[in-house]
Amino acid sequence: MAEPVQATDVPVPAPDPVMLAIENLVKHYPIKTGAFRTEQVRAVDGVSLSVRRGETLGLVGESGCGKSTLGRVALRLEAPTSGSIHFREVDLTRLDGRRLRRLRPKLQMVFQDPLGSLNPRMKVWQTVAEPLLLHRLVAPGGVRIEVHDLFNRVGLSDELFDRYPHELSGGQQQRVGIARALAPNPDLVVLDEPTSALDVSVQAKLINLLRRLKEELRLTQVFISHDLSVIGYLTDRVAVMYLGEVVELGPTAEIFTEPRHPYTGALMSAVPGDDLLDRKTRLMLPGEVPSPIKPPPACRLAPRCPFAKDRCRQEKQVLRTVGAEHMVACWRAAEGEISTEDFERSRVALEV
Amino acid sequence: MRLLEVSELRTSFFLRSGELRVLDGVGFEIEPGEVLGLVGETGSGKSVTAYSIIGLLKQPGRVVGGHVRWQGRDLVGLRETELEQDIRGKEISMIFQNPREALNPVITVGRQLTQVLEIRRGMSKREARQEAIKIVKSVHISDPESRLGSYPHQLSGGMAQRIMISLALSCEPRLLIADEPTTGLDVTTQYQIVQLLRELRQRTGMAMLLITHDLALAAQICDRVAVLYAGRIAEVGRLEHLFRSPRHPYTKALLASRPRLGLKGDIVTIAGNVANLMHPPRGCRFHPRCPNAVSVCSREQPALEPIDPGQRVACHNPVAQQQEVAAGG
Repeated sequence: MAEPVQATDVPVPAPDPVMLAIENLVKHYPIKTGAFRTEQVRAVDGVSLSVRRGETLGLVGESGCGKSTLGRVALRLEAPTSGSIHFREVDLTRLDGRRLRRLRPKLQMVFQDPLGSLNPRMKVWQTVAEPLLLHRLVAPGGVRIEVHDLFNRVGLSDELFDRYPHELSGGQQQRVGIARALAPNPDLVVLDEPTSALDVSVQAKLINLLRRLKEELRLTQVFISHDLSVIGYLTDRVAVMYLGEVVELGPTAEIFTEPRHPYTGALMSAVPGDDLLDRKTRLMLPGEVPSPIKPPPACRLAPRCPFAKDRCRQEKQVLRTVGAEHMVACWRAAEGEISTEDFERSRVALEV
Repeated sequence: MRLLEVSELRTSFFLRSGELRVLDGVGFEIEPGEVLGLVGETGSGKSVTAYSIIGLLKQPGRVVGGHVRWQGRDLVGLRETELEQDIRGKEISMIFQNPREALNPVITVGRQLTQVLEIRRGMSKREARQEAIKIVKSVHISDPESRLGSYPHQLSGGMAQRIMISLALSCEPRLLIADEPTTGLDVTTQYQIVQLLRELRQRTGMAMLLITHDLALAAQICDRVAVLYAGRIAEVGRLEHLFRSPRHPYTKALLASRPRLGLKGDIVTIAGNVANLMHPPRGCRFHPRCPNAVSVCSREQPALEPIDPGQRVACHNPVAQQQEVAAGG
């Protein structure tokens, strides 16, 4: 992995230590399904992954796959059902409220709905200043200067200081949300569909901002999105989720060009290419995503998977290494029975 | 004869603070069997165009000028009863972005479908039931008998959209208006709906007006595309030409501002914000954001004029034509 560290004047620790390590994380929600019946929605069902410092991990999957739940649980905004979450050396699942609160400034989140996540009764500069004052990170006298700097960093004009959230456009609101998340100099930021509610031209500007912030501040990020084009542009590694499980994990370029899991193959075949007019063929998965209350036993994709064999319906799939940092939860892919080429061959064109 | 001809359509919303000119002279036409895409960002007037065409505008919105000619007959100014009897749901049907919300939540989807068939096509209960099963089968819903007994909330998004499409098809319309039909659906389901729409168009020969903000979706299904900006058509043309050689600076920027894997550096963006419709810029509404703007742009509104075969653009200083398209004709 890493080159042997050479003796230098400054003792440098091994590059990019792990910032966040999630082990076997489970989050089930009870829901009433009848007068006397309660069932579990298995939103996140045994996920393990890690994020290194300065890295952006993309979390992709379709609605209901558990990616947003995973994001919230990873920051301990919700308690997991089981599993561990290590932030640096601290297990967040074992912290009491007081110690968790002390860590809060270091763990930040940006939400999809910018207006809904801002306090409507606060002027936007106050919203950005709040975490600074709350955690006593800045002396009250220095707050406005600090907020001015944050506004500048996210491309907001000072004229907006005294406005209320509803007076801003969607793009500006989202910038306020980002400024607030950046205010306490976080070590980890989870962004949950931050660009999804925005129009094409507004989205493009925000994506440029996020990329610049990532490069300038070397932020450690988990970027949740169903928009694969944005994920391809902004992330270093990608975890693909299906029905509460990670089915594939690897470097972004590899996941996009050499998907190993049939589900990833289907998702990637839907990414618009450079030429929009190229009516692409797609890897079709029949049917729809089943309910996370009763997910299929064994491999969860098996009922929809064009490559499924008997073993897929009998044996639970775990992530297995198939390349440097590349893992897939599909025995046929891991044992070399199916590959990206098979996905290509199985693609069908739109019927005309 | 043209199936639909919209000309100089003007729709305003009369708010306490003033008149919001949402559509300011929109014009396009749809030939029988053709799929026209109406592409634009939030607030450009895409959905308002659709609602204006079939008379579903709600207060305080009102069509204040222009014509909507349906096979020669002007729908603007037609009485509500006539629209309801002759046009809506019969000749022109519409499907929406949130199918579950558009369906009646307290009636089974089967009953919603048979009601339409009984009332609009004068069928008996039994005939309607059989026809409903036939229609639902044609949109590839497996196990139609049991599906028809479901309530909308029991259906997945993709299934609800299929039911919505069945309802829209029940009177064999000649034009289907699809307002963001795949937005909100999962990626793997989106494609199934796109494929279904294409198949239906092929089989029934109906025309379609596809309203979307998604250029990639438009590219999958349209014959021609009209780009709407702040209530006016910026450019309209054949899909291939428009996408390969956009002549309006707005179309060009819209096509360029896409993030992609492996793209280095910034994405191309459009300066400024979408025009304020309460106080729209004088002249061309895009000129304050336009890299090609010249002095005339702030004074005179450009007319939508032919520029290339089959392509019209409303711009005083259009983008140069792409060579390959010029050579290919």
